[in-house]
Amino acid sequence: MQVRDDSCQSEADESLMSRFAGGDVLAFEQIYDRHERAIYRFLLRSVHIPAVADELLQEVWMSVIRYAPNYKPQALFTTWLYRIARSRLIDHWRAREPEVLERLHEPAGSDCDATLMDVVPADASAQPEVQAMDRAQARAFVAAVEDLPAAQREAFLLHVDASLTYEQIASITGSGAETVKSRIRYATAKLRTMMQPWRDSA
Amino acid sequence: MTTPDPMTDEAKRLRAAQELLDERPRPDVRARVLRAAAESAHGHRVDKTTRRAPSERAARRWFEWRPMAAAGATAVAILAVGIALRVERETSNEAPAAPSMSTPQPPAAAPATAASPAAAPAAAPPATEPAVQSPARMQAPAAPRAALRRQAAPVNPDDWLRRIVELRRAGKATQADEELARFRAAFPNVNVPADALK
Repeated sequence: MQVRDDSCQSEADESLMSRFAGGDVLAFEQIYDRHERAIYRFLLRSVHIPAVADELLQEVWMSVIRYAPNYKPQALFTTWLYRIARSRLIDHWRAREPEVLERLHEPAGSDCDATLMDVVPADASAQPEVQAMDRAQARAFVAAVEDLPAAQREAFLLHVDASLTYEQIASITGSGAETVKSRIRYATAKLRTMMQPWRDSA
Repeated sequence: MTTPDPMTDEAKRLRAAQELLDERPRPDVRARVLRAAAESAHGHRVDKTTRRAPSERAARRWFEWRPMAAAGATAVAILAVGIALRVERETSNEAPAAPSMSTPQPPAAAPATAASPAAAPAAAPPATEPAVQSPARMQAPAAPRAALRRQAAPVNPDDWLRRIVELRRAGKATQADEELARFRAAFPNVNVPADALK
């Protein structure tokens, strides 16, 4: 598992964006390659269809290019980038799946059993299981993430895959940091439940 | 600030699953995005190139402005020549009249006038002596100034007397008398012949 150094990463991103705003295309190429796959996965987990994720990915980066002159280095680039990605997703849902927009603003645990965190304890033997994960399990886990309620999935992906803090996620989604934390906890609990059959079979 | 917990099992599972599946966007998306970025940055790139080579930029700027500089220099040259010709023409228009209208000046009079150009207009009427008295004329080109010097230079007394005699023979007694008075002032020691006196 790759753990990024957020502070160094962010500084480099902002420096690259400043260079791109000054006309340096190679700086943009670097920043694109650094974030392309993470943004793509975030979009793909949200829309489930690779072709749609490709289309949205292109729109996100076109927006980055268009708004680069307005980018202020004081803002964290990753936060700015995911805010753009979320905006493109909302545009997509507004046009094709308006019901998803309503679920984005649901309370943290509205669809989830309030005692879920208590009945599904953390799995102490997860590490060997993760190491032994095969392709079928990987697909099952990714499918489980995609099946999460939109607000929980969004918070979980931004926290786990994009390595954003609760506060940063809160600033992107327009909700409180505590709400974000709750959504992530519920998402985690739900994923444990959904993956329980795989653990049992292992 | 709360940082992501790297020890969360679900986080590990998600990352492991995504690594295993190796999900990537289509390559043509990258190509399109980078092409758009290059097009967007095209204008800025030109500026960067010029920033790296200031001497080259200065040379390019000179080449861009050179036609205008040449045109400006030509216009200034034409203007200068025009002014010079006009001054010379004005001087030459006045020069033929000078010997007939104005009498030859005494030798001391010309240097005195030239030495005090500001006081000269009050001493003599501008119609008769403008070429010497005007400060603008003092800055006239070399040829008109030479003509002025010739005009102001002391004439030969014999020629002057001969002209006075001709005036008397022509019946211009008043004019001959005025010329004689000036002659005497200029050459008090020269004997005036009788035919110049009557």
